[in-house]
Amino acid sequence: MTNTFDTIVVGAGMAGGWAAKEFTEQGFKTLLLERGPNVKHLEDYPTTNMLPWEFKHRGQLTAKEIKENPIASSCYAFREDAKHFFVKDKEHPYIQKKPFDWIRGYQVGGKSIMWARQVQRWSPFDFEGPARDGFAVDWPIRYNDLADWYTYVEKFVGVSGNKDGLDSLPDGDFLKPWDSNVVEEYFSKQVKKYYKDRHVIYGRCAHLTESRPIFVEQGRGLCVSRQICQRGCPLGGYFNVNSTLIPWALKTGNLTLKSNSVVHSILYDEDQKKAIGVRVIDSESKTSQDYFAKVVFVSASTLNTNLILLNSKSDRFPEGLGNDNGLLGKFIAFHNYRATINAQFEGFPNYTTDGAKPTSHYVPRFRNIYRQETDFLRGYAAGFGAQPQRKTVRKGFGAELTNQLLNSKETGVWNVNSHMMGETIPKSTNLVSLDPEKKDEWGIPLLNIDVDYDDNDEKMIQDFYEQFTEMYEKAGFVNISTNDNGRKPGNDIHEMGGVRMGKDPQTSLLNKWNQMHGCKNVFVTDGACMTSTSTQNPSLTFMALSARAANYAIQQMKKGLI
Amino acid sequence: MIRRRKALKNIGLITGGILTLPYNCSFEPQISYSNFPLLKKKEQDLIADICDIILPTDFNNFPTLETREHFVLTMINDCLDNEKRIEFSVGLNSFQNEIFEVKKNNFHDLSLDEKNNIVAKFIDNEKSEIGIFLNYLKHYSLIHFETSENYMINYLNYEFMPGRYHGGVKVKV
Repeated sequence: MTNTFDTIVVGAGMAGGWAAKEFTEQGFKTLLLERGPNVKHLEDYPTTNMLPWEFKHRGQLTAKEIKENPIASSCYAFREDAKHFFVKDKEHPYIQKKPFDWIRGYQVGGKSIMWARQVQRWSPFDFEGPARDGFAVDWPIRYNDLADWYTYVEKFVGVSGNKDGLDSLPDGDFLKPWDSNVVEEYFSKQVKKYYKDRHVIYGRCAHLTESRPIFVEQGRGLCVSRQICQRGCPLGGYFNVNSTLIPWALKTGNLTLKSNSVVHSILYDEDQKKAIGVRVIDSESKTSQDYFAKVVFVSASTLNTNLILLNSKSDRFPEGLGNDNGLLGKFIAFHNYRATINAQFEGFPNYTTDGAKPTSHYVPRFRNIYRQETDFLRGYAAGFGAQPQRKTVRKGFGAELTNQLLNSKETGVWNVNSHMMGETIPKSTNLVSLDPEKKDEWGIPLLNIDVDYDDNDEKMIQDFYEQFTEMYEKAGFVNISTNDNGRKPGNDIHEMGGVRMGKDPQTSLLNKWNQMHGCKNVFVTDGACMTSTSTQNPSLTFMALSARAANYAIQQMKKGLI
Repeated sequence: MIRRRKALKNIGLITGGILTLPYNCSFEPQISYSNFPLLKKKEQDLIADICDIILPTDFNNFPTLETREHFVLTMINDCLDNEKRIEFSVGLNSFQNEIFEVKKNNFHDLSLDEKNNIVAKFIDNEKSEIGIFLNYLKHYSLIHFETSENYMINYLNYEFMPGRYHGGVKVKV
């Protein structure tokens, strides 16, 4: 195998997958490196067609698995059916300076196999946020810079949604939505009635509800709402990298996909004053190999991208590639998922649902949108779910118990719930760094993670409780209870930052094209590039940024500028 | 009995449970559980009997891939931590002692009424050793029953690939 390519992409998740697709489609010989094993669509979803009663532990983890994986098992999807797609705690340790659950998926496809598939666009307010509110640095782009790329990605991915016409959550190129249920519709109307700037809408999700030629070309079928997406879908009903971007790029004949390849560092040439390739360690044999290219895209997932760049030391960049200002690894942020609220509603006793759908409703951020109105910065979005309550009595034993089970029935009451998705403020004190002594089994320094909540987050939680309690009460919901689930940072699986974009090389690492200020042929397009976090699930934005950056890099390469 | 033996054989094939022949006993196969290496066949049978009292098995109407006692013991073996497994073992011993001291007999040989009375005496006392033991059996018996194919499909309306969602279906109050 040759070790010289036009482009090298590090990480075969969503961001890397998009870069690989763009490069290979336009004729660039591309090496896509993935530290984990290959996962081939259809072939490598071992549990995808298993029925609930076929699982030895009916979905539960064993006590040994929980004991050995306190981090991974804190994730809702690390269960018997999908545990094989998650990194086990012992496999790649890191150092928690403060509690941080780093949830990882090391394989081709990355976490796109097990993701929650919610894809809301950012709005103009989100990109303008840091400048208006005086935190982090100003984004070097605005919504209009990314709008067409959102559309570009949505057309390929397939996004089910409603045109809601909200300036706080722009519409996209949507496939038809699944039906809403009576309580979702009711709550939406009640909120509209009592609040002019609050909305309860259908949660836009990356599922195929209509066929289009592009999906047929990808070999994907419609979603049949199996609700077990985390196992991989044999129909390709939801978007993951394995069923779309990888086969698409392979079909061009321009992609070399190399799994089990841990990137140690990016190679910098002092004479040429640019990156010339990457050093890779085979994850199994531990042997080292260098690969070379004109352009390197780093999309190894937020914290691993930070790790690789910090470990890419040279005479020119002794503190890590592009790290002239000492900010590499700093300003890590995430989403605050700690607050939840539950209640019941007795208003539709004569209605139920039939079938299933892969999404629920969504409450876009309404706090501090148009002006600062609270004693905390920014705000939160929230989910909203409503399900008919089923009651199964399990008292006693013997025939009495059997009869109760055989008379399980819906009560006519609906359970309703919301969970907060809060924006956290990037700070220099929330950071990652290389441990000076400890190394992993591939000889790479372990990552120190030093990230925590702050007072702004605590105030936001209280506001969520107050506002949603009020909204629930106005809607007539009863038995309302709020809860702090104690989730640690990282457990949201939305960690971002450390290699932020910005206008000024003194205060940021990347320019408006995700290009390193200090090393123009290196681009960072995963969550590490994020200047701020907003409240929306970030994957759609990562994909749009990655596709945009790749096309910019292609233009620059064609002009011979990089 | 034939069905039971067949089921035991199938368990070994399906779940990878280890079938062993005890050193000096009959030719009845025994399943070994890694965290309960000393659990004898007669104790496994006892657990099967108790589970059947707590939540009667009905293989004809609610068939499952594994027997009730094998599922329950698999879950107890694999999914309880060490502390809870000790609770289970202590409760099992206490239950056996109770039967032997009070009834001077094996649980299996008691009348149905006697079996029911013993379970009734302890199952609601969830803090007693025997109560804890019985409630572990109840907990996993319930999971076994409630995840059986017939129950999920015909009593919980489970569908593997529904392919539709209707959010406002009228029902009779």
